[in-house]
Parts: sequence; C-alpha cells; structure tokens
Amino acid sequence: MPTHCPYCALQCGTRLALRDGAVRVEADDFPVNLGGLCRKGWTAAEVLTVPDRLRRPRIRAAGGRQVDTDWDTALDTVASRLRAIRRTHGADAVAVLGGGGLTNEKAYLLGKFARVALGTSQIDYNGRFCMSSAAAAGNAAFGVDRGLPFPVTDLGRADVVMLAGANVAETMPPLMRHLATPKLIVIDPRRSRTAERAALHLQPRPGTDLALALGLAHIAIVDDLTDRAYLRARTAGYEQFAKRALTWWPERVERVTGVPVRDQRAAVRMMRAATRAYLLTGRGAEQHSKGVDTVAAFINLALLLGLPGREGSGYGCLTGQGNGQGGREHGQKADQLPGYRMITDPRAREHVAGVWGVPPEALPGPGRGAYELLDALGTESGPRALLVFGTNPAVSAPRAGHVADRLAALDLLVVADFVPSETATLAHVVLPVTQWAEEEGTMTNLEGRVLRRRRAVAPPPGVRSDLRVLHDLAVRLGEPPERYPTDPRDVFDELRRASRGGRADYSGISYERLDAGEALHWPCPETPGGHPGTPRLFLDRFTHPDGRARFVDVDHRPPAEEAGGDRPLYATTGRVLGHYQSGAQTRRVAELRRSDPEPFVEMHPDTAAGAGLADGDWARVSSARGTAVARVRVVPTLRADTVFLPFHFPGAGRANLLTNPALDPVSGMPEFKVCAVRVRAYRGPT
Amino acid sequence: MTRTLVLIGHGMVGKRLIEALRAGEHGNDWRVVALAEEARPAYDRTLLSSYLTGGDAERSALLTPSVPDDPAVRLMLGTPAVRVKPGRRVVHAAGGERVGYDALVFATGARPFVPPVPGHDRPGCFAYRTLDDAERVRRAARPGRPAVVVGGGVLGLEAAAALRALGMRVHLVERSDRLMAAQLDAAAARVLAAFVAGLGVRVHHATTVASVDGGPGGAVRGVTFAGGATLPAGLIVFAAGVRPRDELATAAGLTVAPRGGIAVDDRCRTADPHIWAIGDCAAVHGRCYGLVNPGYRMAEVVAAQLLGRGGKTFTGSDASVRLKVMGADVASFGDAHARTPGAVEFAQLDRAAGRYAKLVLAADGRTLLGGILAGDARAYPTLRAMLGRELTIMPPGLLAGAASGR
Amino acid sequence: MTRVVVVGAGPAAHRFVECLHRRGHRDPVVMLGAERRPPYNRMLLASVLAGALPAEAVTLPDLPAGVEAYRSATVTSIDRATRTVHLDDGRRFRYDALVLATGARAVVPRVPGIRWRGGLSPQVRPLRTLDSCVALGPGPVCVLGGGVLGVEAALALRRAGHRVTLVHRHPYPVNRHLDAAAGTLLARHLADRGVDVRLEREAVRYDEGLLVLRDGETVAANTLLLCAGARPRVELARAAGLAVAGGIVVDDRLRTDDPHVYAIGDCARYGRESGGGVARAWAQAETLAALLTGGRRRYEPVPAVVRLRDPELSVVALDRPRPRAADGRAETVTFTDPAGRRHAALEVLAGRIVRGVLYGLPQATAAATQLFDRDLPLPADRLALLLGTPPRTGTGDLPDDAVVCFCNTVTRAGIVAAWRRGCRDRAALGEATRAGTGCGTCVAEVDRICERLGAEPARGPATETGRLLAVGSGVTP
Repeated sequence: MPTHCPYCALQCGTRLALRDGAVRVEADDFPVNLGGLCRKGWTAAEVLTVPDRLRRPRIRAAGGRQVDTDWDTALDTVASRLRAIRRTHGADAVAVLGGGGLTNEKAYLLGKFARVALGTSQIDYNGRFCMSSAAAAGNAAFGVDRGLPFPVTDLGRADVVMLAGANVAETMPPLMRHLATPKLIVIDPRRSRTAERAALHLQPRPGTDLALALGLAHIAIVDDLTDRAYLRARTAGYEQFAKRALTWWPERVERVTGVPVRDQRAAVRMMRAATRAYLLTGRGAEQHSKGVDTVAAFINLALLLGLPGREGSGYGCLTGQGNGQGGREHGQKADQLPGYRMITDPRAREHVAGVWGVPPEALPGPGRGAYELLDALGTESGPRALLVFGTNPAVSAPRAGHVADRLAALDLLVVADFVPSETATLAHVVLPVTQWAEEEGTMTNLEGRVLRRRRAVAPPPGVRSDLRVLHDLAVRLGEPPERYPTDPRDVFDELRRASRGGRADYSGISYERLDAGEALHWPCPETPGGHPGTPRLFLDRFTHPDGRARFVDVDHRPPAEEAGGDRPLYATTGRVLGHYQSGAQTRRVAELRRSDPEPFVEMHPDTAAGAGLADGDWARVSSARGTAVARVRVVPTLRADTVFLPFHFPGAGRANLLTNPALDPVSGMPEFKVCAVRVRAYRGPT
Repeated sequence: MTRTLVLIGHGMVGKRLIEALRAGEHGNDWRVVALAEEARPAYDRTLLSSYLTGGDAERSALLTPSVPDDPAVRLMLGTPAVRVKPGRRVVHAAGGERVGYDALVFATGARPFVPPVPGHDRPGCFAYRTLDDAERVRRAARPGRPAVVVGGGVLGLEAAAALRALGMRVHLVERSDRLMAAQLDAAAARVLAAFVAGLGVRVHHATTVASVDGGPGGAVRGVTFAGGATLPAGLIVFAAGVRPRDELATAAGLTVAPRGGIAVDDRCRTADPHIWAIGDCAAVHGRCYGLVNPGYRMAEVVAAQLLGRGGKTFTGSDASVRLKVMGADVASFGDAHARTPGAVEFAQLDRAAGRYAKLVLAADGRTLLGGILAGDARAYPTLRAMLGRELTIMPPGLLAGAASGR
Repeated sequence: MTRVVVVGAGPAAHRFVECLHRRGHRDPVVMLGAERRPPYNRMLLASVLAGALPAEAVTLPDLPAGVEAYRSATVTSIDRATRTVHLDDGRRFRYDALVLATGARAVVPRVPGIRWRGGLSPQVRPLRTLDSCVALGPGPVCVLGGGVLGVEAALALRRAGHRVTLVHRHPYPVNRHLDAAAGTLLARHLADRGVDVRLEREAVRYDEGLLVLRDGETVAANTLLLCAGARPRVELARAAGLAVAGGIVVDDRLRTDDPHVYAIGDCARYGRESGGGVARAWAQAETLAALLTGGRRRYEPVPAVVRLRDPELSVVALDRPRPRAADGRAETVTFTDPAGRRHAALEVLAGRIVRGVLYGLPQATAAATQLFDRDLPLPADRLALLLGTPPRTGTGDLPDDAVVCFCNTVTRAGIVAAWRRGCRDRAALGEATRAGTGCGTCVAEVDRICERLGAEPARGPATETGRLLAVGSGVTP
C-alpha cells in the first residue's frame, strides 16, 4: 500500500506491508526520498500499536481524574458546555487550535467548523510556531507562499545551496540525498550535522541572522555581484533596499554577528559563481520576533543574485510539519480562508461563504494568532473553552509553563488525539481519533505537491476519525448534517470548490488523478484538458499584479532579550533526528526513545566548566520565564555564549519552559530561537 | 666470545651506557672496564645544589651511590686514563695499567670554563662542576656575606640558589640581557629574573666581571665590573659554561670539532671504527650538547651498536630542560626559539602572578615544535611528550584561564 | 508636542531621525543639512573615490515620511532664549528640542601650497565629504596621513589602478591604534599592493602636482588626498554659549548644559570620549531617540573597535579605556607568525580583553571583537581562539606512542601496559618501566596517567536516568 511517512514536510514515500498481522514500513522510490528514510520513518509503524493508544473517550470526573466514557456522553458533554459558554460569553469564548500535521481535509473542515458551527474568530494552528514568518515574507516578496516553489529534485543539480537556519541532516535526513552534490553554505550558530557537511559554515550569534543577510546583500551590491538585468526586468523596490543594505558593511556585520568578513565574502562569491544556486531558510531564520524581516532579507539576497523564478535556481522555505504547507492554505489560520484567501478580503468571504451555504456577513473576522490565543485562555477577555486537534501546546508552545497555566484556567478543554499527550492529560474531555495509516486523505508537502495518504489498517474499535468528530459535534450544535461530510473524498471535493480562484487553487486536483500517480503541485485550477499543476512557480512572472518580485526594506534589530547580567548566555532550541515536534509520538517508539531518551543541553566546555559541570551531569537552565532540567553535553564547536536544547521532551525537561513569547509583529511567530539564560548545576529533586 | 669495552669516564652518561649495554645483553658478550677520574662512582650532577643545601642523608646518598655488583663490570675509581693508542687498541691508565679494548668509548665529560680575568685563580674563587667543587664552596660560604656567581645559565642559577640557601647575599652576573639565554626568551627570562630578585638574589645583566680583586694575603675581596663599578665579595663561583674534555682524544690523533669536542657521526662514532664518544665530550656533527638527556640518547645509540643492533642514530637535538631553583620553575623544550621556518609562537604572560608560557608551533598552527614555560612549568612533561605532534590536548596548568579555576 | 530640530544631516542625524520615527514619534521633525546632497553613508567614501560605487549609490535610506528635511541649509546661530535657530538665508526654526549633529571637518595640515585663495588648492581633497570623492582626475595620487582612512583610501585607489603614494609621519601606519608588529605587517601589505609608502616623513610644501618632503624628496601628486584626521564642528555651539571642550560637552543623556539642546556624533564629547566614528554616533543617536520618546536609557560609551575596511585585510584594534573589571588577573596573550603575516597581542584583565591588536587572523578578529564588545571572558584555550579552532577540552590523553619519560624512553603505551599488569602507582610503575626514575620531571604525568586509568567509567547512568524520568513525567494538572 503506497502512502507517506506520518512525520515531517518531506512526506517521504513509503509502502506499508502487512506481515504477521503487523504493519511494516518500506521505503518507496519516491522523488523526495529516493528510496531512503530516516530512523523516524522506518519505525513509524510502531506508533500504530503504542500501548497507551487512546481507544475510548475520557472525561474528567469529580476529583479531577480522567475516566473512560462512551462517545455519546463525551460529545453531548462537549456540545452542551460549548453551548452554555457561548450563551454566557459569546461566540468568541470558544477557541480552536489546529495543527500542521492534519490532512488537508481535516484542516479545511476544522476551519469551516470553527467559523460556521461555532461562529468563532478564535481559531489558529501550531503552524504559527513553524511556518508563519516564511509565509508572510514569501507573500510579501512573491505574492504567494509555497515552501519550495520548485520540486525537491531540482536541488540535486545545483552547484551551491545556502541553508539559513536549517539543520536538514537531522530534521529531514532524506533531503540530504539531494544535497550530496551541491556545495553547502550553512548558517547556524551551532556546528550542526548539516554544518559539518558544509563547504562553508557561518556561525552567527543567535538573533543576528538578519544583520548577516543584510551584510551579504551589501557585499553583493558593492562587489558588483548582483544580476542587474534580472533586477531591472523582474523586481521592484531595489533602490530603497540597496540603500539599507549599504549601511551594513561587512565589518559592521562582523561586529554584530561574529561572522568573519572573509567568510561573508566567500559565501556571496560562492553563490554568485554558481550557475545554479538555491537559498533555503528554515526555522533557525524564522522563529524570531523579527522572523518575517529575516526571511525577507534572505529573499532580498536571493533576488539580488537573480535566483527566484529561474529554472535550476531559487529561494525556498523548508516547511516543518507533515502538512505544514497544506495546513496553512485551507482555513485553520486566524486570518485566512481556504485557497490561501485572506479573511478580510470581501471577495474571498463571498466566495467561501457561497461554498459553505452561509451569508458572507455570518463569517467572523480575523482572530488571535496562536500564542496570543493561548495567552488569553481563561482570562477576562479571552476564550473560556478550547478545542485542540493535532497539537500539543503544553510542550511545544513558548513559555510552556505559562501556557500550561492558561490551559488549566479554561472552563473546558477538549483534546482530540490518538495518544495521551501532555495536553490531553490536562483536558476535560479527550476524544480518541484515527491516525495516519488508519485513514484516507491528502497532504501537501514542502514542494506544494499534493499527496495521497491511504488507509492500510483498520483503526482500533471505538476510535473515530477527526472528520466524524467534527460532524458529530456540529450536528449536536444544530448544524445540518450534510454540511460536515465525513468521507475525506467528499470533503476534498468541497475544498476544491472553496479553493477555486484562490492563491492555492486545488480545483483541478482530484483523488482520481492523484491515485493515478500524477505529480500535482498547486496551483492546479480546473481546466478542460486537465491542468498539469505547477511544479515550478514564477518562471515567467511573480504573483504580484505587476509580475515583479518585491524587495522589502528591512533593517536589523536585536533580539527581544539580550544575554547579559545574570543571564549571560543565549539559549537556542531545535530538533534532534530521533524525535518529531513535542515528541508525543516519537517518544512512544522504543528505538527512538533509546536513541534520545532524555532532554539535554549542549554547551561549550568553558560554559560547563564555569558552572562546575562536566559532560553527563544534570544542569538547570533558567530564563526569565522558567527553568528546564537537562543533561549536559559538552560540545567544543558551539559558541561559548550559546547553549542549545531540543524541545521534544516533557515535564521539567521542556525547552519551551525557557523560550520567549516575544512575537513577530507581522506573523505572530514567537522567538523560539533566542532567549537569555543562565546555567547551574542541578542537585536533584529534593 | 667475550669482548672488552673500555669506557673512559664514569659520569652519568658513562653509567647509562653500562646500564643500557647490560640490560640489552642476553649473555656476557661484553666485559666493561670503566676508568673513572673521580674517586667515587657516577652521581647525579644535577643534584649538586641539593648536596649543598640538603641534609646529611641526601649528601651521603650522593656521595655513595649504589653500584650494582656486576662481575662483568670493572670500575676503576680514581684511575684516569692517561693515554690512548688506537693503533694497538690499548689504553694506559694512571698507575701504569694497560687495558686492551675491542671497543673504546670516551665519556670524559666537560670541564668548567673559567674566564681568564685577572685574579680568577685567587683563593675564594671556585668552579662548580663536581661534588668536590660543591664541598669546597660549602666550606667557604659565610652567611650574611656577599658572594658573586658569574654566569646566569642553569648552572649559575643553581649555584646562586645554593649560596642563597647557605645564607649568603648573592650577586649573579650575566653577560647577556637575560638569564638562561640559551633556553629562554626575553619574556620568560624577565619572569625568572623577577622571581629570583624577589628572593634576594641581585642580578647584574649585560655586564661582565673585569677582574677579581684581592685583599691582604691575596684572597678574594671583591670584583670589578666591566664598567668600573666594584662589588665587595669574599666568594666567587664561576659557572660560565663548560668546555668538552677532548685533550686525550686529541693526543690520540682523533679529530676534534672546530669548536671543541670529539668529532663523531650520528652514531657517535669517530673516524676510528672502534672508538666512540658520548656525552658532553662528544661533538655530533660538530655540535656539543652539554646536557644530560642528549648524553643518555648517545649512550643508548652506542649500546645498540655494541649489541649488534646498529640501526639507531642520534637525532635528538632535544635540548629540553626544566629547572626548579629557589622555587622558580622554568622549562624550555624543543625549538624554543622558533627557528623552524614558518614557525608560529603563541605566548601568555601573567606578569603579576609571574607566569609565562610560550608554545612554538609549526606553520599549520597545530604541530608542537617547542616552548618555554616560566613561573609554572607543570605542563612541561606533557608538552615535551607532545613534541612533534599535533597539540590535541590541553596540558594541565598550561593555560592561565584554566589555571585560574574559573 | 515636541518639535525637534536637528542641525546636520550626516549618519548621526539620519539614524536619530529614523529611530525617533520607529519609536513612534510623530511630532514635527526638522532636519537641516548644510550639504546640497541628501544624507549619505560616509563609510563608503573610499569606494566612491576608487570608482567602485557611483556617488548616488551611497545615499542613506529615505527619511521617514513627515520629516521636513532641508538641504544647503546653513545654520548661522542659535537663539537659546527664544529656542530658535537662524539660517543664513533668513529662515528660522523654532524648537523644543535641538539636536546638534554637526559632525567634524577634515584637518588641513599647515603645509604651504595646500591652501589657495582662502580655500583649498583645486587638486587638494580632504577625504570627508562626498563632493571631494567624485570625479577624481587622472595621474598619481598622494595620500597624506597613514591613519585608518588614509590606508583604506590608498588601497582602494590602488585597486582602481591609480598610482598611489602614502606619506605618513610615524614609523608605521595606523600608529594610533596598532602596535609596531601589526603596523609593520600593514606597511608590508601596502607595499605589496603597490602603494609607495613613505614612513617617518613630513610634507613641507605642495607645488602643483608635487609634494615636497622634509628630506627634499618630491612625490608626484596630481591629487593630494588629505587624511590627517578631523576636528569636531563646534562653532555654532560655542557661539551659542554652550560648553565646548574638544567637542560639545554632553552628559549621559546627551544633553548640553542647556536642557533643550543635545549633541550627538562626531561633534559631541562625552567624558573623555569624542569622535569615534559611526558606531559611536549611531549608539548616541539611538539613545537620544529613546530618551526623547520617553525611554529611560542612558548613554554608555561604546568600546572602541577600530577595524580596517578592506577586502583583503583583517586588522582590528580594540581598546577599552576604563575596563569595568578594574581589578583581577592581568595577562598578555601574544601570537606571532612572521612568515604567515599574522600577529595578535591581547591585554587581558580578569579574563576579558581590555586592549588588543589582531592582524591577519580573520576568524579570531571576529570572535575577539564579539567578546570585547560584550565584555565576555576569553575562552580558556586562547590559542584555539586565535587559530579559530575548537578548544582542546583538556581531559584528553597523550597518544600511546608519546614518550613520557625521556630519561628512560618510556612511552605512554608502556606505562599503560604496566598498569594493566597490575602496577597501580608511581613506584610500581617506575620499577616495572623505569618511568620517572631518571630526572623525575615526568612523575606528574605518570601520576596523571595512573589517575585517569584508575578513574571510574563515566557516572552511573542508570540511576540518573531514572531520576530524570521522575522529574519529567508530565505536566501537573
């Protein structure tokens, strides 16, 4: 049975085989993974049989303990309490939090459910913590946001690939197969596994990559390495940006970032000398309170070098979650409607309302971004109830300790999940749902290609699909049943109609075409002969009305929190190979748990020595927001002013107890990648 | 068949040759006859100062070193060789005995160099080389009175330390602008000088003693410096270097290097295939080393040849030295002066703490070629062991940042 | 409403106005620039001079909307009583806050022939304004003054193909900031790049096309480029009765002795700090913008980082006049590589750089500057910092074949083998291998090997993991 890996945005092709009643994962010769898989992919089947799989709804009983219950009781309880809360506090007192791992169908129906059945504006998703900065910057520059506006397979033929804040070797290992030939320039404060493979590693101080991007642009301009013909023909806004970039001469950038002038120059020269070059950003560049501007600066650099919209070259963002791309196109985002339409656009509202069979004015306006939503929970003006689908904010949100407090302050927390995640354990009602190999649907991977997820095994008895859960709740809330189809194919067909004419137009894509093996990248409008999809965007024009890409005038600013005083170190967070997101799934897979069993903190030998710590000791890492406990790994290649923590671990090991919820003013992205901390020895629980 | 090795001289290097030979033998291939000038077996010359300052036990241990009872070794104490006849392969010993040899090794060592300044032979002037010298100095020492040590090298510092320990007010005269000029650079020498000065030894840099002045009866009364200044002192120690003892070899018609020393190749062999020279008296490719470690290496090289394992050659220009006098700890090793083309130097100086460390690295910045430590030479054994290798570890105590115990 | 008038349109003024806007100031802002050009980026003048950039390319980013900017606007006086500035054309502007950002003017050496008819000889150009950098004529150029600017200009002009002579009165270039070793390397670099370097020379006369030096030598100079430093422009402030002492005197709010008048940039003097270039000017601009928009910041002197700007050079001089850590261990770290033309000398106090020069060490230059700027301690392994390699972690073992005991040629492997045979201390090992029985120098190392072999294998993991899982067992509802 051909399908795709349940984890990251690469969506590697896999085949599921049933052997002795158990599902086994085999790697498929799919273009993104070329027959390879990472450790997570090979062991993915184990998630289907985790011992603590949720099989029955649970409800919080008197005394606070969760007990098993039946579906009707669970759903009736949820519906009646939602109605009561809405009656007392208004529609916006009910909020919805979605996830970038949900299928397109689920994401679409969740958005519709929120706007129509609940009538709330308060819906957002965890992609806010992932993709939103790159999305905003991409929209501003190109008029549309698609992670990679070219197929992954194009990368392998490049001469040079610059990776800004992307540790591909750990976060999506099979992608490295496409990066074996190109020379890599890696921008990362850590000497990550990807950086180790780089021809050139630039190691900026955390929170200064925007200055670095401006400095690289400066060099391109002053050393006459720009593509002038391209700038004239295909871009707008060069003049003002160039003036800005010229204030970031390399020696100034060196002082701010710590990246030697020599290396800055080498990087630009390598990029310019390449016939085919790509610039890719990852979370390292994006998860900042200036993430949008940082990505914009890197896009500006790519434009100076004439990369975007040229076959064999380009700019792209390496999306993170399995359906990070599709998840943001179909209406779970606070400000968006299906088809990547803006909720404030009257024409978009009219179109979508038409498909949904409601008057446009019935649709709510834009709501809060994910962190602001979580931060408002249970407050005077904030939501009193939250429905969570496919995300685990108690671990993955910034300032996680505070977020857990907010979740605890709710009148009603409903979590739909298939394992008892850390957030599910806090819920009043837990709804057990199906997972990847138990359901049908579509996903959109990082290259904008729509993929079929297929059902290989029957879900455990007692478990319902998310679509069914939404349907059941909607009906109890008085909605007509036919408005919430439960068959993924029916939902997809409605999604196609809703997306028609939008930036992410799926109307020409059908299950039939996908099942026939067609590689369809959006936009793929419905056309008489069957539109072939758009593997490469921008070859002729960018999506702005004048067809030109925009330079955005951005300037560097320091991170919201600088290291100094009694918190002299920067903490930066990230991923390890063995785990995915909050680890709710991967920590339940024996092999992955063995490979990365516990939270750790990487630090320079001097940092460790200064705190009286040695490799293998336990350390307390403290920020203004909280303290995380993790095992010390002494890493001589790390900057002495920086420590690194992976964020996959629960409890006292949550890296997000430290992180700073300073938000990007445009995208609402929190500053996961830099906060000020101190490190002390951990003396053990008393 | 047992052959005879005649060894002229029984200092530390000669002793090492016998040990190496005996340790490497399976049977009794060699009978050894050692002709010693001094009346006592070899002792550790680097401990002369401890002899002066130490207690009776240390003195007696030095005076009566244990000599293994070895029937294959005939040690003729107080019996210097007086003549060598290479043609007949025979050595004449003082007292008239003639000893035939199959192999002859010169290990005659060196004699102290006494600058020929007027009055250098007055009563109260001493050399500083043998236990007998040390004993004479000890008897002449008068606490509280001034003494002058001529020579700011290793030996001079040791002599100064000993005199200081004997309670004298010591003046140290060094002709160059720094102490231990052969081993240290200017910064290290400054650290050392500051330390030594702190202990009450007055150092006179960049000057020489022009004459030793006598008092009534001709005994030493003081010195006059080259610039005309005078200094009263009742005791003068000359520690201004040594000269190889090559006169016996010269008389035997062996070649002597232009600047002294018995000329040998890198197997320590003279032009006569039966004769070798090792230690301070040997000039390997024209160069005398004057330190015990190269002497040991030479002894091992010769022992290997005598045992029929001739492949080993003396390559070591290892002039490594660590000196601990008066609590000052200095060391110098390898290419301490960065003479290797392309060599780079890295140095850390903590003036207040009196610590200095310099590493000399190859052009790649990685391979350790040499270095100098002053004030704290704890890193010396580790660094010396790393010579010629990539410096991959941080020797304990080397780096001030680590040592400060942050 | 606070009406802000800025006198000057250089980098300090420009940054101040930008920051003011960014911080939400929407009251009237007037910017009065004396030059006819819009504000430009002085740091790029050498590139313009060498023809690498057209003059218009170095214009600073457009000013925020709403700023009233005037060019060719020469302020002649300040009437502090009525809080008004007067221009030479009779215009007047009232202010609530007056910001003097008048900058500095190039020093013109008192060399006969340089001045001509009350101005400068047409072939003489002070390297300070954009106007003096455009349309450089053909023929040889003489740069007078081998400071930072002179060196940068000389190299830029060489790259553009000019014949260049650099005349400097000191024994090596950039002598105010570099030590002799770095200065000498820099002089060699200039010579290698074809700059004719004349050190320890003084100019005595300029005759059209020829600069005459004190020793009688003449230097061809169709253009004479003055790089002899700059002096704060203080006339306006002085005439208005404000305190002036080597610059317009300001406090840590960048305020003069008139509470309505401020000064920033090259014209201002704070404590003993004056001049200092654009980094300092911008820090002052940002601080003042914060203060005028209700912030409570105070100006803190910016540590001096003098970094030569040239694509081929990596040279920096660091200087913190008043180190924060006034006491602590003082240390000097030096690195010399004459063949590789690399040099570093750092003065370190309490582990932090207080002064330093680095030449030819690109990575160390970047790293040391960051540590210096933020007053962070140097890594324990200073050599690794200078070489740009990861630190040696200090716990490693010698290689097996390393000779530990030289007297007896005992390798580490030999000692380890004896240890494995049961020799567990120095004495037993000495008996078995003779290690340490010679001069005794190596006994510390023998002890260390012994200790490390005897050390327990890494901390017991089982119990600690158990402990952590207890700690990390989930969120408490």
